[in-house]
Amino acid sequence: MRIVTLATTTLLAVLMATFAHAHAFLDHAEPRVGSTTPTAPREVVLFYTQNLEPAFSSVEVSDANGSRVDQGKPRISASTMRVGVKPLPPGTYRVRWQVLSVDTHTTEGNFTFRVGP
Amino acid sequence: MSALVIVRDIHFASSIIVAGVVFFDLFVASPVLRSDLRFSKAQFYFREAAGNIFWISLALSMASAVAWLCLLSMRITGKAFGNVIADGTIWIVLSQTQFGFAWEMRLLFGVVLGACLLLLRKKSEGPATTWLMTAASLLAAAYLGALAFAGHGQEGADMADIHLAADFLHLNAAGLWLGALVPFALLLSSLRRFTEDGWMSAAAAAAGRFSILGILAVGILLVSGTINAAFLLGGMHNLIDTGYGRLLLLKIALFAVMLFLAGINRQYLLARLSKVGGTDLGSRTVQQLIRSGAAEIALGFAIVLIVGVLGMMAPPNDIAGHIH
Repeated sequence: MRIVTLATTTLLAVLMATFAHAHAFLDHAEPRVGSTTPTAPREVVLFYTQNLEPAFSSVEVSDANGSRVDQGKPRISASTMRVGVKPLPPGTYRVRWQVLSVDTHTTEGNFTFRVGP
Repeated sequence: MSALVIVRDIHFASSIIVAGVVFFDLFVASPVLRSDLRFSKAQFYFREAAGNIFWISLALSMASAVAWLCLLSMRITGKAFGNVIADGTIWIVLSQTQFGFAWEMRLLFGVVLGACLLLLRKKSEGPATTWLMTAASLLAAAYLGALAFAGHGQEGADMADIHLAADFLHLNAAGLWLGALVPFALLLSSLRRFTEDGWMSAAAAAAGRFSILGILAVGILLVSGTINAAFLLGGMHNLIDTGYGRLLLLKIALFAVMLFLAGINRQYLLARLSKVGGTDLGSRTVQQLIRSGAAEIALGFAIVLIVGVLGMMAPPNDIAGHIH
């Protein structure tokens, strides 16, 4: 019985495998951080190093005057967060993000990209 | 030290003791004592005290789990305690995050574990008791091991399951060794206190069984700890170059001292007890085992303090993320 208990505990350890993650740092984005793109993007996509908690992750895109140009609530799937943006005229845009990884650590950051020649 | 670190430390320590008391009963105390009427006083004293330790630890574990949830909600949102209650943030964390899901499961395991222990108090020896004790041990393992879901466990996406399994086993090995040290010292003290006929043989038997469990636990701790370090450190140089690594090095050093003490217990004290049982030297040897156990407990909970701090830091492998 005790051997069964030890074996079962070990098996439980192997079977119970999904969640815990670590700090979610920004891995890369589209448009790329600091890049200049000739064509205005329709959405901004951020790729993180860990999976995110949708309930506590957000992103804002604003123009040079500080006016928001994103289209509200982002869509989050695993470690990717994407938000639609309004038609963007040439200029510099700032992306501010704040995320919660699934192991409960928050990270935040911001970067800019340009639309134009 | 922040309130969250303190609450985490209390939670880890009490959860390890909860599991340790249950594991010790199944693998050591019950087989050794087995309603042996020669040790009726010692057994009664031990079971009463171990039971109190279990219930106090379970209550502390549950209370600190609630505190952890509240403090975490405050940290995530930057809001005050009253606000995270009033605006439902705590409920969102509990119901819409993976941490919250893990906490719900752990609460369920803890409640059912408590129910098992209550049922066990009413049962005498028999098959039903053995099944209940087995169920209690599995629930205790699930309750303690599920803490892995609240920590670092997804570094190296392809190997995430291995890291999580290592975390689960690491926690339960801590329960099997550090958590069980508390009832072990208590059992030896109980037997020595009443000096009933044959008590030294029982002490030697308990120490022998616990020693085997300790070897198993140390093996698991070494392997799982190495796996965890490989995932989190991102290179051996980070043991020295980073604050996280230096703290981990301190944890490893304390573990090595614990291992040294356990080695002395097994190779020297236990060996001596098996030869001189029934004499004054035997009684003094048991006393030395108790003192050594107390020293191991102190070292073990110093390790738990470090674990509480490490969990709040970004492992070096995380920081090595890059931006394109």
